[in-house]
Amino acid sequence: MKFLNLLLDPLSNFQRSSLQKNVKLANCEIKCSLDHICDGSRYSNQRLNVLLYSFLVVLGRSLFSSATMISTSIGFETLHHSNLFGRQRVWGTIGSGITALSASRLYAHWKTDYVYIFPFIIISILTILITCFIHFPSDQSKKAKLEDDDAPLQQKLNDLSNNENKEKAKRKSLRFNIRALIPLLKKIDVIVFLSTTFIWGMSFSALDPVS
Amino acid sequence: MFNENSNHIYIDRSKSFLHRHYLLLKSHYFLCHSSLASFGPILDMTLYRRGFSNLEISYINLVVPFLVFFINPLIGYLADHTRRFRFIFNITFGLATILFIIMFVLPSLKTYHIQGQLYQTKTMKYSMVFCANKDFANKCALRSECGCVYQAICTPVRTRAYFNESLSMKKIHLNFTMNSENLQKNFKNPSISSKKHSTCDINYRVSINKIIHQYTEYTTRGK
Repeated sequence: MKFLNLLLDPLSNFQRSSLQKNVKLANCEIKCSLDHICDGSRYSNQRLNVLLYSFLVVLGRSLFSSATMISTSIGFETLHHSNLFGRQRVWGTIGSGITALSASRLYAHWKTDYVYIFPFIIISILTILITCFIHFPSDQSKKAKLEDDDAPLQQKLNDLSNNENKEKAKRKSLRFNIRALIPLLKKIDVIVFLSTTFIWGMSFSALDPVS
Repeated sequence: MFNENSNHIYIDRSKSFLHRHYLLLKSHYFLCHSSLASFGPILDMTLYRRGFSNLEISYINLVVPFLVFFINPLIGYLADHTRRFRFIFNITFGLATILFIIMFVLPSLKTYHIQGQLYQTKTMKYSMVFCANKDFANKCALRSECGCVYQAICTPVRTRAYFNESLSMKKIHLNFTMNSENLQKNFKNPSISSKKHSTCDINYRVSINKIIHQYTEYTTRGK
């Protein structure tokens, strides 16, 4: 209240002498109600911290990307037929959706970053454990199953191989001819795939650096 | 080779349910992408909260694809050469997890608080004077829907007139806005000091007459 009196009372002797200039009433610390939004300048000599953070994030993300690639190889090595890959991989998408949503709901309730890191650690440990038990079939059993699956196609392939020999001569002349791709563009599947990849790639590359 | 008729895919009924339907592989993909999804989306937000600027985060994200361009073929060659896919996956995944845990445990980058002064002008008007960067006026204003307001925690300055008195000068908390109506930029700051750490981009002066009068009325009523 004394401070308020300083604001509201008539001018004291001290204040009358300060009529010609502004009167400093208080020193203030300016901040925002949300943390880390309105910070001031950074302390000096923190270059090592910045480099350490950058190194950890860059290397961590790269290794995760490599792990995803290896998991695809694990999938194709495990499956006896490559057509089954999509049915297995879709569970990855389902898992990422469920976990991202759950983590955000947990954060909305507890308002702490630990709701992200603890599930991350637990799920990572489970991933490593589950991966150890994935069974790779032997090459002979895979070959036997593949032959049983593809028996109806073998007959078609034998017919096609005869036509292929005739087309080989034409292909040699068209090896570096871009006109060989035109028949592909007449297929709607190819058009949809190329368009989706192109648009997604452009959008992702534009957003990712500033995500 | 694409099998047009999927009904011809062979299902070995002699195997257990677990292996017949590749449940372990499904679990592997479910858990692998779940772990990525639990931490990946908030990685940039974590860096922001630790004190990194938008530009620094952008540079970090920019480097990642180039590093992936070199690392992925190397690991792929190693996997193809050794044929130990599970082992290499576990090592890679475990290493990435450990790196992120270390990153999470590291302390935040330390920053100075913005120091300001509360002035009373000769015309009995009150203003808050401080120095900050160019984005300061927009940072909280853009997040007003999230409940972000600018705050000032003011400690009164002991003047000579009150030196011998026992003052219970507590800190006062003020909330103010940075509208264009009450905001002035780049004027001559009377209290700027030549400290080494202060990097003053813009001098701000915010008129807080209404806030002071509201505060005094509120406190007077409370008596």
